[in-house]
Amino acid sequence: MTLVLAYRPFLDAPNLHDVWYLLILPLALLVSVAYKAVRVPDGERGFSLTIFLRQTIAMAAQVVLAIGALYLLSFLVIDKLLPIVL
Amino acid sequence: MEKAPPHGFDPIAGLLAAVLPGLGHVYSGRVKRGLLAGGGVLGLFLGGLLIGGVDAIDSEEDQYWFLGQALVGPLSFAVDAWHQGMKAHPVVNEVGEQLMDMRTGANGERIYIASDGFIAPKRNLYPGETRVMAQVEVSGTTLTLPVATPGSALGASPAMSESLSKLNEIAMLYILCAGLCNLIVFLDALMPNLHHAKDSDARKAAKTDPEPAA
Repeated sequence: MTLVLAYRPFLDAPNLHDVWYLLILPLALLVSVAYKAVRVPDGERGFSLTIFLRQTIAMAAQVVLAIGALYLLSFLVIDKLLPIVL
Repeated sequence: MEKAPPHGFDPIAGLLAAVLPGLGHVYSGRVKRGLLAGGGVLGLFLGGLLIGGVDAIDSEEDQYWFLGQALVGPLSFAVDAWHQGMKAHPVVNEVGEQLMDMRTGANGERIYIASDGFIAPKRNLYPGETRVMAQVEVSGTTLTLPVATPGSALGASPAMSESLSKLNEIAMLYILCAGLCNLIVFLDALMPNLHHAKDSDARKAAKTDPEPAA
């Protein structure tokens, strides 16, 4: 018998084991928000939300794509290349 | 050669930034930047706690992660203290050997105390256990310690559950990223770039304008 207890936010971990890789999306977005909030240069009339949003989305996309590329490279080396070499 | 942009030094903004992410920027009049930076850092911090629970911050068992997580500021230390307050000394060790003798408490509850002076380090409680404060005599000194005891006897369950596997790592990573981002936010509040816009424009102009003919 499986005992399923109610999820208590901040006290228990929710069951996200099947979709763990999707958690990279909010991580990349929030890191970009925090970083770009202090790094985006001022526009003509001070801080520009448009420039901020554009740069934040671009940075988040770059982070996700870079991690995806690293995954692909690791997969090719470990799963395809090494079995041929070794 | 391009001159380095002038920087200010604002210790009060730095102090406020160390207390709460983004507060230093709000104090120095950069409200939008402060709210966005604080929102990003606190979003990562709370996101980590939602994914892994309070177990995502643990200065005793994950001390190297905690070095980076502590950069979030007092919030990290408060959550860690909250987490440590839910732990207790175990009754048995990892191979099932009894570490503590069982006694019956004043209210009839079952409690365990150290038998030979050895006190195992505290850990998170397992399902079916709860935390009881017990009088333990160690080398002639009586100590009051939190001890793990079967929860069924008291009708209680653990205050929190341990997060495991990838989710625990991802949750710790979220809070570590919050700490590292907060370091950047803190430094920007402490030493703001006063001519950020002018400096940026100057660099753009230097890149696009051709060199004047000699």
